[in-house]
Amino acid sequence: MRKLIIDERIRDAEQAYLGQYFEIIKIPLSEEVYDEISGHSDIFYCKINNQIVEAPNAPMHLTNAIIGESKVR
Amino acid sequence: MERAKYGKEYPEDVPYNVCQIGDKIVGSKYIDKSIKPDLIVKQGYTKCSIAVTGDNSCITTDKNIEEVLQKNGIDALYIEETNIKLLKRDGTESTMRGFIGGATLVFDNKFVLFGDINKLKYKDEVIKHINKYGLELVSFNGLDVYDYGEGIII
Repeated sequence: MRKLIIDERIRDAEQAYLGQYFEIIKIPLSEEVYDEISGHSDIFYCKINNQIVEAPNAPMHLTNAIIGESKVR
Repeated sequence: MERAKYGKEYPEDVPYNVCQIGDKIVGSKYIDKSIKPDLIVKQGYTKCSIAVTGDNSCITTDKNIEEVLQKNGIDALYIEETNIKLLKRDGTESTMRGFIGGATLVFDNKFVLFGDINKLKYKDEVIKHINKYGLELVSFNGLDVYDYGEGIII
């Protein structure tokens, strides 16, 4: 099952819907950015050509994750 | 090459706020040096501001992004949307305005809006655009529209 990495503040209805398609992994809020974006995946990671690029100080490290058949960087 | 850490204040918080539309990487001058953008926009919160709806299309809440993308042949719908909210640490609503890219997740031909489409001022334009690209709208009745920073699928 694919995984969805998303802000821990997601609401129940959204989680229930998305949970049909993904294993939901909630991002713990970071102290290193301001509150409003503290769980935002688009601050910590980006996906380019189907590979994840992550910040060295990302709150969760996805380094060993797999996308398709490619190891992510 | 060592990658940049993100920092607390803008623009130090946007080195990874990069978007890909088809084969074009869209970013700002603030992005990490390991990432080579094809198109440069002024808005550092580039990904936050763009909901990608196809290989050559998107919705954006940033006027300059719309202009740059349109000049490069991408069908970008600009919406001056004021009804997307950000959250404080405790989950209550902030006074800061959120963006369309962070308020949506597109996968498997579904356009998931984190909230109720009826809360958007530009509801009709958004529906028309996603219909044009064959996306199914998923909307949550009665909920305010929140920007969660999209989400990343692995």
